[in-house]
Amino acid sequence: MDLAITNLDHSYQCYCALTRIAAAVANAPPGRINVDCSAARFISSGMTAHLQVALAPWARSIAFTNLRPEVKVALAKNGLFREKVQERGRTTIPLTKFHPSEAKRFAAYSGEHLRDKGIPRMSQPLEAKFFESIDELFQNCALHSKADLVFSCGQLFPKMRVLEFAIADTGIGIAKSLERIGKFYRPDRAIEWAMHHGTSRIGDVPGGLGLKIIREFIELNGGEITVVSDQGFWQMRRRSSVAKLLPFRFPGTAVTLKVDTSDTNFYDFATPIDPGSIF
Amino acid sequence: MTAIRVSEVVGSKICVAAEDGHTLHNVIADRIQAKQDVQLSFAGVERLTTAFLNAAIGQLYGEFSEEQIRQHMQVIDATTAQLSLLKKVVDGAKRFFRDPKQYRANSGVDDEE
Repeated sequence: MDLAITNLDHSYQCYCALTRIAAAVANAPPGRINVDCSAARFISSGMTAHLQVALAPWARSIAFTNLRPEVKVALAKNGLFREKVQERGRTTIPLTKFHPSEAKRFAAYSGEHLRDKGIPRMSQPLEAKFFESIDELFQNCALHSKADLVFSCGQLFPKMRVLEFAIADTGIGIAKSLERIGKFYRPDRAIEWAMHHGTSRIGDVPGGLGLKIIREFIELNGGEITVVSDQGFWQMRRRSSVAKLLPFRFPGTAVTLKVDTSDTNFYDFATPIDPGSIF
Repeated sequence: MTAIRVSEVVGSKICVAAEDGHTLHNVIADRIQAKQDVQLSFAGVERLTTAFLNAAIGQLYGEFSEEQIRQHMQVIDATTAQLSLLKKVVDGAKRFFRDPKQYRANSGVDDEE
């Protein structure tokens, strides 16, 4: 089977293309799949995690062909291919596969690749808020999506002062997760609900505040967050959000954060809290 | 009063998983049940999530009264960011367990199997 991909960034059009690939792969007969990349001048680092989920059913028999040299190098640095490329600036957070139970390994991975590795220092409040956000994202995969696998990767763009971080899982998606508790939303509206209301309760334990906390962080940071789940697309860019349906379904949930690393907001550090008033 | 070091109970500075939160919850709940005071130390904790805190502390509000928890629990060695996260979790748990039906209606939060 032959497929073709064009540029892949985090625009709605690119996610339409990604889900078209996912649908083709899901229905593909057994055998090798060739992905023609001749029309791709740019593939966003974060997209490699999402591609892994889209291609997951056939991951072992997929060949990327006609790659432009610069795209091939970028993807190799990212760890998409077995062949590794050493990079000087160490701005890449390599594509890594996790089981949802590996929260500590994920925390160690993100800490290792984001601290003291050539990445400019973010302010302490921003760094704390960023780690809190990605740990919440990973917990969402573990607690709500019923995923088998989680993929993550990222890239720093020092000149643009942007840190891109992506996490994608092979789970049931946000809309189906809500259906299990009797709430029926269109996939894009289901994401919107999760971004504003937090999560569902599990047994006697109130759920994490996951996506809500992340949205509030990115809103203040002025960055960008894109969430794709099933046929839903939701994006907030510079504090303005949009929700749309995609033509095909994504087989899981994909989240990409773009953080403005020059942000000097104080976040939770701004208002001291009296420990005596917590309970 | 002996302090309970969160990182010692979890066995790591990474306190992010709900499963680890449950382990901590059991230690705290046993103490409160026995009417003992709990001094919870966050010294050394590097990573924290609401998922962990909800499992560790949020669910206490379904088992004990707010008064019992306030009387027996104290937090020490926590950063401002950690206190802020804990406050969000505690406020949410209080609202939830005071009137689960109303909370679900207002926020859309509901049970998940």
